Amino acid sequence: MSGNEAIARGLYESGASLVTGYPGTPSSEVIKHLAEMDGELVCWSVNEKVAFEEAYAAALSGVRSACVMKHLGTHWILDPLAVSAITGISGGLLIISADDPVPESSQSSTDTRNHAMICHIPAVEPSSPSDAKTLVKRCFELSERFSTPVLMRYTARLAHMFEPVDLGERTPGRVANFRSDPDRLVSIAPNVRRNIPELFRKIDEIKDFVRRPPWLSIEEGEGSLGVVTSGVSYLHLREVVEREGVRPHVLKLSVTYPLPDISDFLSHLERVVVLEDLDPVVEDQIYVLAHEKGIGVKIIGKHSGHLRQYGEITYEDVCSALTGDPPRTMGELVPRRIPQLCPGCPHRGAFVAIKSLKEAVVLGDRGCYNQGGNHPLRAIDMAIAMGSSVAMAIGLWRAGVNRPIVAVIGDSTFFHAGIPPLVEAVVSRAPIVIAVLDNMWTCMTGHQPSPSTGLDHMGRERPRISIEDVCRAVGVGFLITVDPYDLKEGRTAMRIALEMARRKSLPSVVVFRRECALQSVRRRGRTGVKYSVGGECIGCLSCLSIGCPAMDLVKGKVVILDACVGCGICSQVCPVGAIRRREEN
Amino acid sequence: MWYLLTGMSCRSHKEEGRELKFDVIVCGVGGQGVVLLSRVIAEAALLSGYSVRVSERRGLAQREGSVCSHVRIGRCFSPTIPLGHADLMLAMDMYEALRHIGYLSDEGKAVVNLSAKVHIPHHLGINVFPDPSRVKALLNERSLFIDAESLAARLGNAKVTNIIVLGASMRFMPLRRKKFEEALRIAVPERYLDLNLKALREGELSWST
Repeated sequence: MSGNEAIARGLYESGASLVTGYPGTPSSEVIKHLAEMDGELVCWSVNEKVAFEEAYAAALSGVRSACVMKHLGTHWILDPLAVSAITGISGGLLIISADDPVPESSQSSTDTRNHAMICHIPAVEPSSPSDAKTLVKRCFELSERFSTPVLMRYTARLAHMFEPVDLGERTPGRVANFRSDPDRLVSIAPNVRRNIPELFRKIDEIKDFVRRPPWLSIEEGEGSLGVVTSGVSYLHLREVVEREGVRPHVLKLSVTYPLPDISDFLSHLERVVVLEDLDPVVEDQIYVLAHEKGIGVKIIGKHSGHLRQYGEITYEDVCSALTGDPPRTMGELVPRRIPQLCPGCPHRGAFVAIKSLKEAVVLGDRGCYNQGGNHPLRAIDMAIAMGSSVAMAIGLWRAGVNRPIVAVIGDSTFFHAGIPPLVEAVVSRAPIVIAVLDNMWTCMTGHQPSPSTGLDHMGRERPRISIEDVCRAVGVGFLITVDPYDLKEGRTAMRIALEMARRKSLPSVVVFRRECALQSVRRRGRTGVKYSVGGECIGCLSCLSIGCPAMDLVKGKVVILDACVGCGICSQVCPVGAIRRREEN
Repeated sequence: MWYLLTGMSCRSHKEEGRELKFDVIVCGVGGQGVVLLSRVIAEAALLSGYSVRVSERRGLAQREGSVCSHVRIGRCFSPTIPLGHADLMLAMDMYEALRHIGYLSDEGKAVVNLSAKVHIPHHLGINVFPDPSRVKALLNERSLFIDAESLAARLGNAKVTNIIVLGASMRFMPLRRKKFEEALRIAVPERYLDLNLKALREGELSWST
């Protein structure tokens, strides 16, 4: 069972009645697995803030609930999260966040535990899949005992690590029962001022409560070296202890904020190594504690320069921190593989059309289409955060950038964070072109439904929200929908959209609509259409510049592989018409 | 010769009565079946009564990225294999074998599929990959090469290339063939089972040809 599945199992067994989320690698599989256990318990929300608020409300009504997201999603929920800490809850409420320390698939590698500190709620960290399953249950108990949301932070490594996990029975879910309590739940300043002292009392009580097992465990060692560890670094440490023959005293924390009083452990040590992924959250609290209690222990960690302040903490890092030897590293003997859009990806056609606008600044967003920024397609100039493409396009225009400005945004991202900046573009009369790449699913994270899918996570029909209707309602100046497989249509639409935006001083929207090729093949099978290169090929390699993985160059000749799904973009960029369509049975 | 050497080393794990520790790195390019391979090995180890821990890095597997799985059999703690400690590598591609060779111990062996898959930008002069013959020379000392793709083509389905590599690697692992067959029964859909069992056998016999 993977870490993600173990978390799902923990939620299931704890009797959680509602688990919401927005997909994001490496957290997405939690909801997928939970849906396999009981599809009625889960919901993919339009964005993380909505997901959190749905779960928060459920917890206020007395049932156990959770929301699951990656670290980037937690940036969106801070406002209501801070309030939830003050109001408290009735049923247990967990925020489960997967951090991406490397990062492998994120635009930043923030440490979610900082949010727990900002909001004054406990941060809990599992170190293995089985630990994660057990901790989910304990977190619900902690949450209910102190009437506080609990943040469970785990990492990509744990998400995609597999080990055998024992299964238990599901505790039945509770019945929702919302009781009005306006003095607590109406967060106007007088109420908040009255309730805030309670928040600080609670965090002190929690600090005291988690001082003992099972919230922390101590393994006696020899000598005067100690280690305070949490998360996956605990497993690396055990391995180092076994292989290198070092015998430090080990204190493993499950709660990393607030740090319980561990001065008894620290006071017997000369040196203590602090192991944790990302920011020195535990380390900083140890500095404070040591200072308060007058403990002279030497703290080895990120501040002392023994461990990196960024990146994933590896076995080699732990080994180096304990032995003092420089960490072993692996040389880069082979260049990095540059990821491409999939064969038949509709975004490829959209990007070729968008690139036809000369001199344009193209702003990407968050999703599969970022692959279009890679060599050789190289079609976007920036990609920042969810929904940033549209807002930053407006910013470029306001700043006076005198080039065509195009924002490229996918369907799921459009609904997540693209609508407010669209409204802004209209009221600002920004003459930008917004290309919405609607492939009808949230693809990058594993094909979750988006509001444009028309199906829910169980494949049941639900209302499909029309991107065009939203744009019309907001009042864009020009709107057209095209098929990204038709380059001529796409190029014409982009040209006219730019002209209209300038003429009307209003944003234009071009919707490129076609279902994700992977989903289309999965749902309806292959069409039987393929393309192949004929003898007219002059070897100009124009077709390779669209970056299709279904093409290869063999002894100087372009060949089309079996992976071709027949989109035909390559044949439309070939200057001599050498790539031809054929039907297969 | 290889058979004798490794056959002996595998037996010694049990003869000395030590707790077993066996680390396998499985690597390749997205779409080559790396994840399935590592799960079959893990399943076979579980069926043999060992504890197993698997860690996957598959960030952009779907999109031509490099994929690597750590399979740790027996007594272990860390989810990843420490650099220079893997006992065996199964590589679906020569470049990926070279990329991950740092995990292999000095005595470790690699079973490498003779494929050298470059990415599209290579053809246009971007992130150019080294010549396959150079890669082969670098890997040569600790590697056994197998043309699993041709063998799979002979069986009529290129998709079982990974299982042929597994078959060829079985003798280097302290697990019995029967357990791999049982693992395939669990991991592979019924209608492909026969084909996969044949591929396993084909791989196993490949050294004698």
